[in-house]
Amino acid sequence: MADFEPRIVAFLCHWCTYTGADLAGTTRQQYPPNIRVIHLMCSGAVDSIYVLKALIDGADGVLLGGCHPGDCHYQTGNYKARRRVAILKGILNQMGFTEDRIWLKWISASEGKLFADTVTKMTNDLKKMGPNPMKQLWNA
Amino acid sequence: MAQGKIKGDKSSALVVGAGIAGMQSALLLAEMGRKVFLLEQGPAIGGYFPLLDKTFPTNSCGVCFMSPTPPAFCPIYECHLHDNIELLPYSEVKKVEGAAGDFKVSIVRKPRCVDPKRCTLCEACIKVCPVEVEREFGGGLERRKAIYLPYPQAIPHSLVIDPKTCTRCGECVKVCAPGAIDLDMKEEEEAIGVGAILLGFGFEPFWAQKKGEYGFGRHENVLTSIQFERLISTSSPTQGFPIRVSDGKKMERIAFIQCVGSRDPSCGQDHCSTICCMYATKQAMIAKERDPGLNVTFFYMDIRPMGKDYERYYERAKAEYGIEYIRSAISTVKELQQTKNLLITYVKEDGAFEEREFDSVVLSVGFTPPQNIKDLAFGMGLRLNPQGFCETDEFHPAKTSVNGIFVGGAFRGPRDIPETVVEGSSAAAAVASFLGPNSLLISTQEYPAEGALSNEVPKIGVFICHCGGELKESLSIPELIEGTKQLGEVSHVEEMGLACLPEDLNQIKMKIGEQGINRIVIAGCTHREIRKTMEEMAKGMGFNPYLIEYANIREQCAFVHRDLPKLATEKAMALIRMSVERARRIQPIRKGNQKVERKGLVVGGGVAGMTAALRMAEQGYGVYLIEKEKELGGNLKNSFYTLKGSDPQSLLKDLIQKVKDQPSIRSYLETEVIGFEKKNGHYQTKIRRPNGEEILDHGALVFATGGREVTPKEYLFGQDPRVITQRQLEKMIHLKDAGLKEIRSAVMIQCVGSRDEEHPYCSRICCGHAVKNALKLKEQDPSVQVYVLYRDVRTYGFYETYYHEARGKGVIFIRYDLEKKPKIAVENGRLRVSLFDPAMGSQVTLPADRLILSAGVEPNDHLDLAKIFDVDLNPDGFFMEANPKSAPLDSVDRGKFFCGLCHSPNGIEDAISQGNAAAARAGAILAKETVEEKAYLAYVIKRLCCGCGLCVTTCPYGARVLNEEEVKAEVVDALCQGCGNCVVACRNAASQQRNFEKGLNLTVLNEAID
Amino acid sequence: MAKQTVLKVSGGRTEETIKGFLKSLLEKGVVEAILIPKRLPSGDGFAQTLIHDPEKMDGACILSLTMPVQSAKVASNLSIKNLNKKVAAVLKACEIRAIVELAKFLQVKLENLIVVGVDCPGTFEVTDYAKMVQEGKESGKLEAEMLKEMEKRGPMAPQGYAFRPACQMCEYPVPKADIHIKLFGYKTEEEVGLEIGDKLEKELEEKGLLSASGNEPSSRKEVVDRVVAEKVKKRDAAFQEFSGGVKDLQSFLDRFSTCIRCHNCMVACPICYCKECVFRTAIFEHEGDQFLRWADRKGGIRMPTDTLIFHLIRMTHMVTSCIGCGLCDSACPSRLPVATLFRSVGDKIQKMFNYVPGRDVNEVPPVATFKEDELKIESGAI
Repeated sequence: MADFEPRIVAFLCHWCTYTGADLAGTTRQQYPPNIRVIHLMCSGAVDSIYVLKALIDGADGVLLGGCHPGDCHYQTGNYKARRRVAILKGILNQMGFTEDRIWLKWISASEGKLFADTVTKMTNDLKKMGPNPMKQLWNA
Repeated sequence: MAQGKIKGDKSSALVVGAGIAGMQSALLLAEMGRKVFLLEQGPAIGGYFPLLDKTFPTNSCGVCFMSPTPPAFCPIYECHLHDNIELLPYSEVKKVEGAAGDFKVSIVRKPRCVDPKRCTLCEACIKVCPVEVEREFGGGLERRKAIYLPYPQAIPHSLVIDPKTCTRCGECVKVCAPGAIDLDMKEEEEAIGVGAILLGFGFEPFWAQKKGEYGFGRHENVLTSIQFERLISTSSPTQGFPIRVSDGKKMERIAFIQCVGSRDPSCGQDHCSTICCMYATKQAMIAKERDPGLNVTFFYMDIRPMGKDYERYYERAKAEYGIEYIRSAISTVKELQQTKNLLITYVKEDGAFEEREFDSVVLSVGFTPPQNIKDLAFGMGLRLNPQGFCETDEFHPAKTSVNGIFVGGAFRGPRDIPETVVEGSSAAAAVASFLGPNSLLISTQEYPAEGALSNEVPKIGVFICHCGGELKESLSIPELIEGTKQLGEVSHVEEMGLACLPEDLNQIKMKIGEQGINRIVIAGCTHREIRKTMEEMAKGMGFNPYLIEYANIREQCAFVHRDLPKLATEKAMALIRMSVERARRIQPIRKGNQKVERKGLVVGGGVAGMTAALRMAEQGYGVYLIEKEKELGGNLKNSFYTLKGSDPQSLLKDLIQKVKDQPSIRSYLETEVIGFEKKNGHYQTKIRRPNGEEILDHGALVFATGGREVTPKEYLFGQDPRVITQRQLEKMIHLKDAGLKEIRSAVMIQCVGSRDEEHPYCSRICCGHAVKNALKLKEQDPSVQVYVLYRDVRTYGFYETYYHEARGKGVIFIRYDLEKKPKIAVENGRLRVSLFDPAMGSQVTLPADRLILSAGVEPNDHLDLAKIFDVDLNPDGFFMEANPKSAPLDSVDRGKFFCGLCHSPNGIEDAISQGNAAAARAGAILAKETVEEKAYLAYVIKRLCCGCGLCVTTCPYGARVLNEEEVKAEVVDALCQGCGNCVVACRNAASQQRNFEKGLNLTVLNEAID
Repeated sequence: MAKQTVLKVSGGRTEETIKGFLKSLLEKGVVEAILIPKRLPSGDGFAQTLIHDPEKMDGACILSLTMPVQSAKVASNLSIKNLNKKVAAVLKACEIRAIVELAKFLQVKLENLIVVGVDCPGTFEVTDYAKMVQEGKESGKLEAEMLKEMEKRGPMAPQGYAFRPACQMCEYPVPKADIHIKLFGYKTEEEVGLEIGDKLEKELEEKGLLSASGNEPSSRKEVVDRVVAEKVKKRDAAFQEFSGGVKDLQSFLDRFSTCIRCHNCMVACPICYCKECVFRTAIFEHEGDQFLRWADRKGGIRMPTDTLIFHLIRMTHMVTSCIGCGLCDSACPSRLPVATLFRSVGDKIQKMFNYVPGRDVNEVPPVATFKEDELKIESGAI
């Protein structure tokens, strides 16, 4: 498992986490290149379909990044995202799929280091967990 | 130096100081159609705002809302991007000549030695710079080079050279690929012409060394609150984990010492700095969140959280965070030699001395006026108050002593962010009124018409920029070029050196023309850096700017995976693939416009409402002023003198007269609102007047529906005629009531109907009210005994000096606790008040010829109104703002504003500021013929919609409505902010968002996984 | 407060008495029409029928022992647009709970709908019922037996047959309705209970439709409690059996490997109200080269690709509102235990939000709201 490189798909909100990810770059915080960022306007605009599709089609982990509670640029999108993720995790959990592959993280525009640390930790955790079984089930 | 030609004219304004107030004023004036010069003495705009990570009372950031039309981006970026604002960073005002309405201002532009237009922030120069010094940002806890970025988000977004420390070794010049550095840059003088000047000089933190007994500067672990703020910021080196400065260790006990350089005549600071109780409490809470094991102790005199929702915050700090507050006076802070711990000796309320040891001590420093503006103020003829802040008239809070020069924010006195935003807005209103109805168009730029692009087959041009070679260190550009060529529908791929500079932009332009490219992908830095440049270029050639995609291979790839070139290149390729995939599917967006009904409607004709109506009318807009009573005036009718000595009755007369004289205002008395409808772009309000109903169309709505004095339910009020409220006493004094002679001993009780279970908030004005009436009683007869029974004295700001005066004149202040309220008894026909006096440590009994209750403020009953207008109330019944810090007067959906007592308890001066501010914020909407819609609007595929209403419930802006007839959802384009939440609320694909369609996102996802 | 009373049964003709009461609603103009199951001419099944003429009530059934459709969907069609007159609908408890959920999603308009609920003995699969009838339980006989059994122990399935699995584990056999006809604990050949909600109480009093009076028999509560307790026991056992069998994703997929992607569970589900399911819209269409690229990357992919995601996504849409009617089970051609899956997942999610679907029309569904202070689920403490 040592050379397994997990693939993380991240959905980041425009205002906080995407900007935080930029700040990680501006301040040259280093983190593993396992992540692919998809930019959306709000964490409340991440459909469960995206998350599930990512996991089934080949991602080992999915990261949702949004503004801290109370900070959502669109008032309450992050609270709605949180519920959505809770429901999704509940469903997957009940079906014997480990929910730890879905991460919800509040990262503000000024938390570049937190973004870098989050990706680092998530990559390491996923390495320990091994490849996502879900994607393999659908191979021929 | 050569002097350039004069910029600006009589209709423009100069805002000096780009802190929160200055930025707010500039943004609103710009939105109101004014040309604004925004001058800042530092190399970047923002003031103290960039230092703040979390703000009270929400412990959130959220200042990105602070724009005239939230939600928008951070105010710093907004100012940077606004067409009507010209930034003058790193500049100083040298001289002001001319007169109100026609000023000529000489300014000096200091040399920053780095050209912001060419600097790409690759930071190659920082690596080679040999000079390291203390970083000013955050109070000098960190270090920086002589060439540096003031803070990561700084605008102008460019490095700067500090001339004081630069050794001119020239190493940086050698490594700068875009050639942005010029060590020989010289100071330049410039003159601008403006009609009005707005001063937002802000404040300076008190110089803590002045209070030698606290040991700042001598003891390593004594910090100022500015330093502690930096320490707990998530962008600090420890990511906000509070550590001990001397050894970097985790701490167990820290102390906050309040009022350092506040309420302290001994160091020339007799005013209360107003916000230190709150900011320190916030710092303590954040520190405890980061390190739950930390014990925090406050040493304080009175705790003063008197803003909206602040009392709850303070209660939470005690109850939920376990923060300890000790009412005391500090005698000394000693450093223990071995441990560098600090030993605080303090005197408790009962006079007993105690000692406690701490790992670190934070000094909650107060605010002083900016020190370096005295000469300038003198030159302009500006009167400062005794504390050195800008002097203003109580009833004209935005005007200075000089005609045509205005003031906002902390330069007028210490204040928190919500008030600063209000004042910045208020000052903008005053400037707009002064300059008269506007003439300038919002955007003067004309662009060629766009070609029809939507139905063409995508021809994608990909430009891969290596940022002056900087990205080549970790990315293989040839590999990216090769890979990109393989992608479908990509018709052109090209390597660029510096895509943001004119040379390369011209090349892109040429290629678009030559090859018939109809979609562009820029792979390079984040869209945040390059978007504006690219969009300008596109608009200039009739290319729809929404057909440009950005692949962020710099900030989110090359810069963060430096040592992994292979994997980084692979990732960059994926990012380009994703962007190309988006580019294949996006459609051009032409933003719609909605006609603005350029009238305002104000509900409530008290001081705030009349003020708002006047300011809107003075900007040239028609105003409907609705009042339910027979006459205008509201609570102002019952106010007879103020603490600062102004005459509210003459203000009342003046306001009513001005409203009558103003032809643009139509007043409706004895009128109530019975209906309200949101149209696309404007509002429709239905009113009932004595002689019938009427429908009014308007584009902005201001609530000024007021509040009232709480009717006390205790202390024999209503049972004994000698128990009265402060208002009743004020009226007696005003009317020279015969009963006054009976008063030999007056007892005032504070916090009646405030800070209790029924009204769990501070009413803010009662302490001042009590001091005001106490002083009046003493003035009429110095031998009268006046007792004020209080819980905390909250004479914030300059009111503190009157509190001081009252004590000097023999008014006796005795503290009580909520658990031990004063008891009232009638003995031999006389009222007697008994309570425990903590200073004496015993029970005292006071005779009371009159018992005066400082009754709190409560809002009028707004439930019906809130329902009609679709706005929210907070748990206390006041109107709820979109964001307590940054949009303190705004409702969530743009266009509705709150001011006066319906918003929060406040005095006349604050109500005027709020009325002004509401008018300015409304003016930002009314200034335009049409309102431009957001780009990424939601839309509905009606065939798929089953009208379940989930999108309607989820939309925070009221931009979703249900068409009852069709049983289908619709989007109110003018209100949609483009968050996409409704898209996800929808179970199928009926609800979509332009260029963020579900299907589009899924195809991008495919590329991310591949 | 709702009004409690009884209907006195004459001559042991319980169903006729109840139908007589409903007929009088039509005759007295309380409602314009009644939606009620009617026995098919063949005698071996039922169909929902909208009756306007009181005379057409013959053949209508108070107890219909099958559920060919979820009548909440019928009520949705009936009420969603331009229902301007009052209609009474005789429904099973689970149908009423589905209606409550649909009303929250504006798919049922309750203004002109009078919900008539009957204590539910449970239902049989349509095919089982037809077989029973063919085997000699002639029309109405089975129902009459069941009515009698409601008094003491709750009804039992005839030898060799069983109620639908969803009914066996349904903990809500007692409906909440505007007109509630109570059978459990009553000596049904003598009287049945009648509870009239606030919506109708006054009108029915005025029109003289509530002549009799009488209280609930003391035994009712006991019978209901016992019946519910038994079903809860079965439910919990089913949940446990299910989760025991699904330890990881592989075992789940093994269990559901016979899914033929017919989407019948979605069609039958009352909560799936979309006119066109997201799985049938273009967003799941991929271009050929995309499939090839996937196949290329993984060496090969199963086609079609969307079975698992279909069930997962459908769950994110409906589990919070799943009322456990089990029609998905009945509709599944592969006889997969889909109802148990949806119910057991639903049970967990609903508990997370302290939400009981179908309980109260004023309760906001978890997908339509949030609380600021809830769900501390942020990941990855660093």
